[in-house]
Amino acid sequence: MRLKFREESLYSLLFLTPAIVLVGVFIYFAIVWNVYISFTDWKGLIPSYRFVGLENYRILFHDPVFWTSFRNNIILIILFVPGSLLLGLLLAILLDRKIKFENGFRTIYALPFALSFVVTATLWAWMYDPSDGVLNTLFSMLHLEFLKSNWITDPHVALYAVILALIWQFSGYTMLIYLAGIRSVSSEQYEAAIIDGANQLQLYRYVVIPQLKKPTLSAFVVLMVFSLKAFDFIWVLTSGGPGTSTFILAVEMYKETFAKTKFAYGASIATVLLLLSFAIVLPYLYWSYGGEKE
Amino acid sequence: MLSVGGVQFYQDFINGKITDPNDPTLKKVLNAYAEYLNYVNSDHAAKTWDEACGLVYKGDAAMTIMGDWANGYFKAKGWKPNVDYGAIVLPSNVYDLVIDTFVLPAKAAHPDAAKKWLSFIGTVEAQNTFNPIKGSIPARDDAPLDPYGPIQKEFIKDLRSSSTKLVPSITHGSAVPPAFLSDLNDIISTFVTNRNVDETAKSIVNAVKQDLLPNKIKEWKLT
Repeated sequence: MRLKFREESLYSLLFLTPAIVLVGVFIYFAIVWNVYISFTDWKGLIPSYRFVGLENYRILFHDPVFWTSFRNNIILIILFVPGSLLLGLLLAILLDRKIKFENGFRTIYALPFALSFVVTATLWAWMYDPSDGVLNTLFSMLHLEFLKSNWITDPHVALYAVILALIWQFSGYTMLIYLAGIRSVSSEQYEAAIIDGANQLQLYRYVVIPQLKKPTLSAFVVLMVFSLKAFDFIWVLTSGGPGTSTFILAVEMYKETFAKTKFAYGASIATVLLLLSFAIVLPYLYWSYGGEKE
Repeated sequence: MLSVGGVQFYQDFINGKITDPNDPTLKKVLNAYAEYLNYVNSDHAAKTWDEACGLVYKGDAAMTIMGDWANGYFKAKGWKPNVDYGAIVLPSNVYDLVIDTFVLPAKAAHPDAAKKWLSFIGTVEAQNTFNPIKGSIPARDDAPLDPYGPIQKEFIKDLRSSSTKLVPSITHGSAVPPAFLSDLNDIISTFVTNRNVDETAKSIVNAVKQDLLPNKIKEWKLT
C-alpha cells in the first residue's frame, strides 16, 4: 500500500513537471523578472540592469499620460463591468421566457464572445467610420442626424464608443453565465412563488436574482480582470487615440515598452497593473475558498 | 514649423533646444497650425492621405497638403498636371526629405543579387523609371528631366537650387528618436481636437526633455 502510494506520487510528479516548469518560467519567473526590471534603468535595445530604486515609479506618478490612462481604466471598469452584467442578465431573462427559437437567439447573443477581439474590433472600426461607417449612414437615412458622431475619432466620445463595443461583445458571455444560473433555480421555487401570488417581476426580483450571487461574482472578476488588460481590442479599434483619449494602462504599457523602448518604465506600469489585479482577485479567492469551508 | 519658424528654429527643435513652454516661436507655430485646422474636413482623423486626395479629386476639398507622391495619385486617376490640378511647394526653399531604405541582412541567402539590386536602384535609369510613375522626383541631380511632368519639373528645379535647404522629416522618423516621435504624434492628435496652444507647448517641451534629449544620437546642422 505504502509503496503504491509512493509510486503514484512519483508518477504524478513526473507528469506535472513539464507544466510546473513552463508555468514557473513563463509566468511566475516572468512576473518576478518584470518587477525587478522596473527598478532598473533599462531603456533602448541593449539591456542595462543598473538599479535605480523607485525612480521609474516616481516619474510614473508625475506622468500626466499615466493618470489619463488610469482615469480611463477606472471609467472603463465603472461602465463596462455593470453594463455587461446588466445586459447579460436582461438577455438571459428574455431567453428564459420560453420564447420561440431560443437556441437560435442564444447562439446569436453568444456569438460575439466566440469571435476574436481583432475581428470584432475591426468590424466596429468600420461601423464607427465617420464618413462611410454604417452607423452614421444609418442615422442619415433615418433622418436622425443629431445622433451622428465622429465616434472613435472624437476624443470626447471615443472612450465611450470603445466601452459600448466591449459591452456588446461581453454581454454574450454574461448571458450564458446568467442563463445557466437561472436554469439551476428549481421549478418548485417558481411554483411556490406563483402560488403565493408573485407576478413575473416579483418572481425575478425576489426569487431568481437573489440566487445569482455566485455567477455574478465570478463574471464580475472575469470582467474586472479583462478591463485591466483589455489591450488587443482597444489597440485594433483606436490604438489608444485620438491622442491619448482611449489610453488605458495596458495600452500605455505597450507604447512605453515597445514603441519607445523604455523597458524599465513599461515594467513599472506592468507592476502597477499586477497590483491592481491582485486587489481584485485576492478578495475573490478569499471569498470563494472561505465560502467552501463554511 | 518650417514655414513659420524657419530652418534655424526647426534645427533647434530637432536638436532638443526648445525647452521653454513659453517659447514665442513654438507658440506661433502652434497658432498657425490651429489656423489651418479651421479649414479641415470634420472627419479628417479617419482619413488617410490618399483618401484626402480623393476628396480633392471628387471636388469635395479645395486642396490637401501632402508630399510629392500625391502626384502619383492624381496621375493614376487620369488627371493632367497643371490642367486638372496644380501644386505649390510649401514652404519654398526648403526640401523636407523622407528616406526609404532597403536592408541587406547579414545572413541573406543571395547577397550578390541583393547588392546588384542595391546598386541598380541608385542609378539614373532606375530613378527615372520609378519616380515618373510614383509622382516623386529623382534624388540624383544628373537625372534627365524628360520623363517628368510640369509639376515634377518645378519640384526638381527647387530641389537642385543652391538656395534650397534640405531638412530631415520629423513625421517619417529621420529627424528625431522614435520615442519622441511617438509622444509628438499623440500630442499633435490631441491638439488637432482641443487646439489648446499653451497645454500643447507644455506637453511638447516635456516630451523633448523626457524622450528626445536622453535618446539623442546626433546634433543636426542644417544651416
